[in-house]
Amino acid sequence: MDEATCFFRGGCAFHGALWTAASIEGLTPVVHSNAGCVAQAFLAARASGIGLADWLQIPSTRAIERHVVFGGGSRLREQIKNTVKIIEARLYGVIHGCESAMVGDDIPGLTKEAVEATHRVICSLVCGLHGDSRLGYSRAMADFVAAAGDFKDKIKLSSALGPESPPRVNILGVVPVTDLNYRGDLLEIARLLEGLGVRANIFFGPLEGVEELVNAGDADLSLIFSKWGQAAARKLLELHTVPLAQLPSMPLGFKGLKTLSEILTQNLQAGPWGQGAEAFLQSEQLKLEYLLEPLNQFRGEILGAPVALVGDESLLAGLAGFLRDELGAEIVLAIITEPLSDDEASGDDLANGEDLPSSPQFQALSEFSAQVVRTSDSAEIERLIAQTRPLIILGGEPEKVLAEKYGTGHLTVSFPGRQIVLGRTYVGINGAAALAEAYVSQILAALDLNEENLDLGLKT
Amino acid sequence: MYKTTNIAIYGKGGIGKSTTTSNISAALAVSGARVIQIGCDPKSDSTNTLRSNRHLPTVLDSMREGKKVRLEDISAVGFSGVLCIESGGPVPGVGCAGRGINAAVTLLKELRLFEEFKPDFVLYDVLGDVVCGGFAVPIRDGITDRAYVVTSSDFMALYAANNLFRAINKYAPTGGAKLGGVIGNRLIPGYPLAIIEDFVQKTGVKLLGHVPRSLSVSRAELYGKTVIEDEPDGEQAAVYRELAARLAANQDLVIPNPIGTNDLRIWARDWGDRLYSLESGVVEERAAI
Repeated sequence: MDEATCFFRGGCAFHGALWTAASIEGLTPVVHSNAGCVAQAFLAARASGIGLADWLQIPSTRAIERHVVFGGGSRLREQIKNTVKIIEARLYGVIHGCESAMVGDDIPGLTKEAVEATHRVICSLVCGLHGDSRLGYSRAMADFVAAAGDFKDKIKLSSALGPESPPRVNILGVVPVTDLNYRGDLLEIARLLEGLGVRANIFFGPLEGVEELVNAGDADLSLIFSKWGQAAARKLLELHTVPLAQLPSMPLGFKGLKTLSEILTQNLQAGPWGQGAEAFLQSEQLKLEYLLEPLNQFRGEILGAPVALVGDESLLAGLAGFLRDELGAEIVLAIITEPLSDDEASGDDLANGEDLPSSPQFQALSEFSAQVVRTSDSAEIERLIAQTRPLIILGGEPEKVLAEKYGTGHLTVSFPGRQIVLGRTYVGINGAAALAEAYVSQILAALDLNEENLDLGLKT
Repeated sequence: MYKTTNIAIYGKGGIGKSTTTSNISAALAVSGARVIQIGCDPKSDSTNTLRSNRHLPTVLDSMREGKKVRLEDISAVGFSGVLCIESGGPVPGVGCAGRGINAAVTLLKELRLFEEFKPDFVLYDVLGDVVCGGFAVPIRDGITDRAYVVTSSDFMALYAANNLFRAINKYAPTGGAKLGGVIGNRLIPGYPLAIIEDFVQKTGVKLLGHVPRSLSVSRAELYGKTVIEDEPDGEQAAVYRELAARLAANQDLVIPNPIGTNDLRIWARDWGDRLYSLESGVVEERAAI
């Protein structure tokens, strides 16, 4: 057997919860699981290229059989106690593995006990056996935003919110690690929102994540960038009446920025915050036009090349919209490889009297792409690629193998991708320029390699 | 060269498994066999009547302390030389008792208990129903080759027996234990024996024997003894000796055919109708009562 039938595309829910906790600046995860879970989460994160930093410093109970048979509660109690003594953090987040979930260790009870002992501890009850890492992010983020608000008086905040402060918006649904560019994407989203007059709580990144977590309930809006942000947004709506709005895709290119701006206008009360928005939009439009201008020489066969997209639906919807409407590409195939969310799996329709539209990303993709398929079966993906014969595939590492086999171009945009990604973004205006640059370069490289396309006269 | 017969005894909680098992162990020991009885129940009271209710640290208590566990710390020689061991379990409401059974049995093997003691019989007295994979350990992995079920004629006891049959059906084809038979317990005269006989006939298994309800069992337990020790010449002791002899000689092991859940309900309802007729004086032909 020399071909994989299913590629690793996400890790388990525990991984997602740990990646979430470890990515919040100022929050120290406390892991209650058997030895190996943290290391495994690190190895899984490596599939995104750079992975997690400082994983060796993550406190873990390293539970063994004794803690399964007799319960591991006392071991977790000890670990929390020792962690707060040794590691200084503004907030501690307990997450746990499958074994302790199966034997029913009382994580909420132990967290409450720690809080009563004046420690700043929150917890999430998601564990590996619940599903995919994206679900882990979704549930952990919901648990964290729900609990962190209780610590507003116990954590010294660097900046108090005043009446003159711009509106705050929670950015939910950008998943650490499985969104390969999450660092760069979040920074670009924050930049765009700032330009539109709004302050973003991005939770992950160089800014004070704990502070944003604690303040999330005071935000004026929760913006949902993928279905994995819905749970946290709903929790904030339920507990703190923070309204929510869902984007149809990751915002990419000027149209993406325009949509983002419109959603803000529709969902935030009018005020001085929006005064500079129009000028910002104009300057970003000009900037992007300027940056993309050299590509005009490639209009036609190159920019109109048939493209296949493989990855998570929110990302694909953003890519498809930009590539088709702003570069003129023909999207022949979009393959969604991420799993269904809880709601999708249970058949709940969010549109029925609820506050969220039904599958906006899927709808957007269907509008942009000739064919939209939901599968992670590598044989099925190969069959679809062979059938549609795109000139370039935008996907993950598994699709790179297919690209080599079928002589097409390839650009890594989705997990897993074996690349070092620092500040790269395929979101917003900067992301649009970066994507276009990489995309056209890969098509040109593919044409160089693909004998069948030599007759296009484009070989340099 | 000794040859050990490993036996697992199951049944619904409170049905008299430990009493039956302890009396069988005592009877086998009195007949000259080397016997180990291992209680696989977090309550850790399986072997009480073999050792006069004296304290015995459980295997899991010793593991919990984290010290090196020695056989002599977790075993006690009881009546007529029966070696008594209790697996024990976690504090109720925490941890995983099923995993505890697994861990305890694994430790006993690592301690070379069976090579050291060279038993003729090892009896595993296992908690109630098969509640999860951990409690099925004694009938898996070649630990025992035969299981017996203790039951009364109560529906819930037979329901538990039927569940065990399902577990045996699952594990037997891959080397797990088969069923040696059913032991009726605490039976009053009249219909109970007929119900059990009908149940074993329907599931294709054997009724190894039955133990009538007796005050002498209750009295012996209050003294911390088995009937074999307390009243060796009594009728009840004779019943257990006979049962032990049959169990020792039995090589007729079968894979049972458990009754489907719905069929079991229909079967029980049918028996309910028959008992109602009996109480109301309606005598039907072949009522089997």
